[in-house]
Amino acid sequence: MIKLSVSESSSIPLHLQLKQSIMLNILSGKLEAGGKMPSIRSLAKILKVNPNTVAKVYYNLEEEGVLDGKAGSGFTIKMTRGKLDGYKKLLIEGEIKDLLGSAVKLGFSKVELMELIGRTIENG
Amino acid sequence: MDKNLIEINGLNIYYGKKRAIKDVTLNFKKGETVLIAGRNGAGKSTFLRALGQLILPDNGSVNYFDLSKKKIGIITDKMSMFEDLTLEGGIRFHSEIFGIDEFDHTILDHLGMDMKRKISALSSGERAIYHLSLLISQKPELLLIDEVFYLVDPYIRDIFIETLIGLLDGSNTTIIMVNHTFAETGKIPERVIIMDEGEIIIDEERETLLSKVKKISSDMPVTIDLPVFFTRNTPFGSEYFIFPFEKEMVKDKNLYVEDIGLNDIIKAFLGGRYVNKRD
Amino acid sequence: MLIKEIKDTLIHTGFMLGTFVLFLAGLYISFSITGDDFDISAYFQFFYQLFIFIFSFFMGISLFSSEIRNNGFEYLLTLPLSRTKLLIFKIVPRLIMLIILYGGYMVILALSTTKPFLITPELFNSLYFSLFFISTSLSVLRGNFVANSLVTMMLFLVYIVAANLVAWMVAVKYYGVQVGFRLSVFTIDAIYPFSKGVVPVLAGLLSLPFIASLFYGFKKYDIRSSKRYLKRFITLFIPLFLTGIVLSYILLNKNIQPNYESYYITKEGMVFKNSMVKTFLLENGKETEIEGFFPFWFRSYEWKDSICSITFKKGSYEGKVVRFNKRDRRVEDLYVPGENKFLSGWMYGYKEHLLFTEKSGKRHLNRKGGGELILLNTETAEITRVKSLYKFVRFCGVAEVDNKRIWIGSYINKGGLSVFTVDETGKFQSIVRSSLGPVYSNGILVTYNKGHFEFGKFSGSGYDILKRLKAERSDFYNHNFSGNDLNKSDFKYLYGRKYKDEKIEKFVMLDLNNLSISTFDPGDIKRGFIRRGPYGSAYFTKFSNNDPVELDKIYKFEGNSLVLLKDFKGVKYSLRNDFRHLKNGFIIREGKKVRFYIYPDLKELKF
Repeated sequence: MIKLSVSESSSIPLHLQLKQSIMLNILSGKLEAGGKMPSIRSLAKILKVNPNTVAKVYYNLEEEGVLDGKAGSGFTIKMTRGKLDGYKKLLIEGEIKDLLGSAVKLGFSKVELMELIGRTIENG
Repeated sequence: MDKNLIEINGLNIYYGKKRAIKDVTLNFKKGETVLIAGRNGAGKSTFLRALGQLILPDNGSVNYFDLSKKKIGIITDKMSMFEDLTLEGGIRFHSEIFGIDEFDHTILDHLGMDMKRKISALSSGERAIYHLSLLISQKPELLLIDEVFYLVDPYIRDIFIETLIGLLDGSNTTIIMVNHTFAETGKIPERVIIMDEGEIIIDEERETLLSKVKKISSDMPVTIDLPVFFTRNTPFGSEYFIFPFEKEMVKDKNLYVEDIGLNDIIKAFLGGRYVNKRD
Repeated sequence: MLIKEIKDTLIHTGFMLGTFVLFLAGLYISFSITGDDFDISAYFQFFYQLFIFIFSFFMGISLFSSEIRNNGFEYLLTLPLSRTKLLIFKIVPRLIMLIILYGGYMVILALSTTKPFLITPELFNSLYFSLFFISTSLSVLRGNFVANSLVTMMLFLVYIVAANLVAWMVAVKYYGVQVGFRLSVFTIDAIYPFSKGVVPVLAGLLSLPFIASLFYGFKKYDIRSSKRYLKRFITLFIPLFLTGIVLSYILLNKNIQPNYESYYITKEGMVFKNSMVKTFLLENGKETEIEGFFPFWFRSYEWKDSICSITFKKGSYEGKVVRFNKRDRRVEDLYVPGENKFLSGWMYGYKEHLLFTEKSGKRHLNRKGGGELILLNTETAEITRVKSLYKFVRFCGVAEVDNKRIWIGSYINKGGLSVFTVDETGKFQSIVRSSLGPVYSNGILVTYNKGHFEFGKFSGSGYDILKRLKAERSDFYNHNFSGNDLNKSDFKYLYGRKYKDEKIEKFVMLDLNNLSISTFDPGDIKRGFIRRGPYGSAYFTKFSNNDPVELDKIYKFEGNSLVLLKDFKGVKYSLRNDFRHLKNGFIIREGKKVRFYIYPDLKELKF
């Protein structure tokens, strides 16, 4: 099931949220290469965002080679292996940053944190 | 695409002796979506009415480019209409005078409104939706909406937002909405204007605000010189709201900087003005 | 938008008219119940004028009432119409409705009267339209209705006072300061001496500032308080209104053509000009004021070198008999009535005698004719009260029998005239009945009774009818042009006309020498009228029966033929004043220029 959502109360810009959401869906296979993206208008309506936001993301993804835009027929997903891995890394890095931030807040030291991470992985 | 639709220059509007709009100068482009927020009595509705030519400038000017009156749709908190007409009659009148070929009944059908009822018999929410439908059918190039969204139930609100989105995408309409928060208008506005006491205190893109307004929490008083516009004291310490934020400000300093969402940003700005007023 | 306004106007009008009709019906019913006489025409006229007054006010002030009521005022301002167009859409249907209601009323009046009813610009009372314009200019104020109405009424009063003030100023300039200032709402032009165009000028110049300022002020009207509008309104209004006052003053001055001016020409060609309050003697281009003397047609009498006249105090019924000496220009009183006694307007003269009537008490004035007949001897100043006769009497001559003077008169009685005589001793005698006014000429009294002319003579033994002649009465005019000068009684012929298909078929001639009637051909004369005067009878031909009438030629009767006296080559005059018969001649007025012609050969008097 495709899950695209953006939150207005987040401090992350909408277009970034949407981009991430689309990427997540592509990476997790929910959006398949060659598949067709919803039109700008319909996606905007579903998400209740400004069509400009959707357009921005689509064009941005087109520039980065993730989407292929053809006049009249909308945007299709075009994903290369290399880019896929690159994005995966980016996403995880983002998560790690967040984790570190929380850890600092809670007062973990670097060593304590590494210990916890190791233990969690072991426990599955 | 980047042409100005409205240019406002040195606008001043008085209510009697009180100056409700003070020397406002700004522009609106075609296709922009703007949220105007502010405290009660800040001048938002006055400003909106001025944009809709319901109030004429006392000083300064409001200039429109390539915009005929038929393409301006405005709904104010009064939701003024000829209330003795039936819904049908109101549609007919509005269509005729604004030159609308075909009225789109979709939204009203959704609600199952009886066209033979009189407008005066509608509830506020129904009236808001009815009025908005009329405006939409004008295919306006400029749409001005004063705080009426809160009257409409969430389901209808969604339908309405979708219609607005359709307008934005299809007709490149400039939409200017007045509201306290983003709550009703959602994620549509790209530009945020905050007014206070007749002046524009914030006029930024949504993204800019997100990146330039930060919150710093600390249980110790902050000693360095930061552009704090609002401080909130909690039992756990103080929250400092910063604008405009630059990374250099907190470099090498042990300060916890948080991103905040737009609703909180607006609340902070409003809070700041209240506090200033009090002092 | 226009359709909506038309609908609103029709609904409002319907309500008001309906109320009016119900009101009248209610009156009618209550009158029927009490059994009183209900003169529907009079009541309708009175109340309808009131209705139009209220209507014009209401239509104006309720311009925006429906929007204010149905919460649509802000919406109205968002409609894609300029402020000016919005006003036009609102005002035009209401204005047209006012025209229809008032115009329709005029048409009804015209149709219901039997005599030709001219709808002139003056008659069309622009008052209602001024009120409409005034109340529209206040309709945009969103204070409460009562306050707005009061202000409207005050402004209306200002407007009326201004209009009257201008009219008064012009009158004062023309007449002098004796003219009192009177406030008239409906008939400005009736009390002041103007000819055409007073009311439209005043109404237009003074009420247009309201409308103009309304449009000007409304341009910047928005949903805030009406103060902005008021400020703009007043800024334009005051200079426009003042300009209007000045312009109307100038325009009225240019067009002043007094209705109440009258002229008097003596036998020798002295010309007097009377205005409402002053009398001037015109000579050699000069105007000399003569005080206390007012010569007027049927109450002035020339004898030897004096002119006697009944002169009234300005605007009152108090009159006295005065004498003006043509040589030394002095004026002296001949007869001043006592307390509560009033002279009527006619005075007769025969040689050195004057005959006039005096009434006791004001309540008889204008109600009963006649009064006490008084003979005044201007040489001896002797006064004889001859007879009390409260009838509308007219005298036609004096017969001298056995050195006594017998005054011959007549009065209306039972659908005809009773002819009588009265002498210095007061002896009153009824003579005959006549259905035409009697004429005494060449020693013969001519009357008409039962299809016959009767010719009679006075002698020591009374009155005898000499001859009867069968003739049609309607052919004859006996308009006694010389009026009150009973010395003129040596006419040998009297003239009349036979009409066919509205054209003259024949002239009829009464020969007082041999008491016979004959007819003669009118030649190519088709229409006109006969005047009988001290010069003999004259025939005036005219071109048309419409307004303006064109005066063509004046002929003099000589026996059974007509001699051309003067050809006017189509001088036009309106049914009003521009051509006036006077005792010894006539005047023709063209614009401000007045020309005087004197009999017997109608030469023009030059100063």
